[in-house]
Amino acid sequence: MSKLNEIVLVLRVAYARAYVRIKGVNRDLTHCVIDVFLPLLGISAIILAYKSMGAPENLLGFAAIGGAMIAFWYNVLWSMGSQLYWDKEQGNLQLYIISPAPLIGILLGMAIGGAFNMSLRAITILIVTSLIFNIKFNLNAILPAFLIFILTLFALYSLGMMFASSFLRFGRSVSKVNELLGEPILFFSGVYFPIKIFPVIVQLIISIIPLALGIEGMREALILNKSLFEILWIIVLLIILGIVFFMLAIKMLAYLEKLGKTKGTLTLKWD
Amino acid sequence: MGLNKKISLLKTLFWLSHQIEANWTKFFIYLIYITVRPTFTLLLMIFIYIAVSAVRGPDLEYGYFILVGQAFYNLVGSGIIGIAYTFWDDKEHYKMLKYIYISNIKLSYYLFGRASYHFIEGIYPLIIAFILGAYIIQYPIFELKPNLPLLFINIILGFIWITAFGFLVASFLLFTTNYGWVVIDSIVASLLLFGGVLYPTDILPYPLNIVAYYLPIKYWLDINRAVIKGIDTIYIFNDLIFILTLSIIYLIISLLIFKISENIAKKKGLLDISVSF
Repeated sequence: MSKLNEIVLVLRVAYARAYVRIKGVNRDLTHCVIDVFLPLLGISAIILAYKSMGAPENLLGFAAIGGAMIAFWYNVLWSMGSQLYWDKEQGNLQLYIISPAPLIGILLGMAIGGAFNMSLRAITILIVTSLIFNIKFNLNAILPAFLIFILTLFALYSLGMMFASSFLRFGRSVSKVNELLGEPILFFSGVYFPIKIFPVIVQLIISIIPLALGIEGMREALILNKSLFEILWIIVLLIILGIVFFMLAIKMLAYLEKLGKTKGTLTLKWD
Repeated sequence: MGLNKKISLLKTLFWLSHQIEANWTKFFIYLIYITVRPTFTLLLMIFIYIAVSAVRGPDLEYGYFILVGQAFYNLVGSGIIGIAYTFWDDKEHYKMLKYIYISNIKLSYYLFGRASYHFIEGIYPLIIAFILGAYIIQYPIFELKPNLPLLFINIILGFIWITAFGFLVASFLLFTTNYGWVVIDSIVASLLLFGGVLYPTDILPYPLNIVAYYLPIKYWLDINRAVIKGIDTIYIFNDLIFILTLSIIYLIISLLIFKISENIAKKKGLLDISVSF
């Protein structure tokens, strides 16, 4: 198979997997409403806490942007990271592997579908929060903010693809790993507060977390009115992270698939 | 069932809960595991205070308000989720609910025992998170003179109303699991919004502030804040009456609803139906 045909096949598989994910999640309108309503409760509590302390308006906007982005992290952990493990438990993984569909296409489709679903929700959450609490954003910076948003998703879901291949090895401890990665990453990403309050050394370390970078970039564009030039470093860093994570995900997936076939761990014991 | 038998059952349920929750690792790692999530959740909230302090200057009393509120709110989450998740797991994942139902133990007592484990287990991370949070906001915890007997009584009262909320969720889960997590998350998140965890409930706009007065969490947290400081009982006497009354009312109502739901589920043959796995 030529390289071009391989790429076409990956894209076709990605489309098929993304279609299932988008259709499956959005066909139930109740779920869509709930996915927006539930995070709003938490974000509202944070914004009210800020108001109660007499915080500057900027911080309310910071919390709104960070709060809307939380869903992406959980989606990466639970709907990307754990997915291949769940597929293995349900017997789908072996079907994927014996079919001509490349696993990377399946992961890519999961990422595209998940990112699309979460984007719809995150944008709705942000709009509703800003309407309820009268939070003002710099709408002139909507394009740079959107660029950062897209690059954040690219880096974040590439990281998710890495998780998916490595979590396949963890077995049933995978849910524990996910739980351990949940809140600490949200904390270090500063979802509710500016990461500038961390010491510089911590800020440097957390700049490898796409969520932290993305949230910071969008805040700087939409709230602090920074120019594109001033946030260029975030854009460059997100591109680098995205490419590195994506390449690593491809390598890890190939390695772990091979390892799984050799050791016979791609199916459950009783299958 | 006699008291000795009930205590013996409770011990078994504790053992069972511990095996289910912790058998995947060593005890020490398990202790770290159960501490990470509540600690970082508390840090998330504490850093909201730090972010404001960096601009407006520190207000230690507000820091203490959030510290106690969030530390004990974690216990609320683990208690409610303890019952709800146990129920869900047994019904949908392990498919054990029908066997529990036909064994010589009441379902409500089984859930109560399993919930007790989750509640008590939640106290350890609460203490760790509280100390770490106090250190970060530089609150002088060694100057606190907690009224320990009253704190203990209040924690017991907390266990009662939290268990009641757990039973309410479990009643709902008897009929559906598709929206199970939604109900659990809605209740836990609503308690954060309306319960005076991060801010005094007076800040809520009317009529939302009225909701807070009918929730035991508001009084529970206020009492915790007061007794940890060692404030005289006379100043929190009204809150104590409120929490006692509300806890009993919630428990009676929730057990009634659970009983009715259980009977309906039994008649409709829903006890052994699993839909989510």
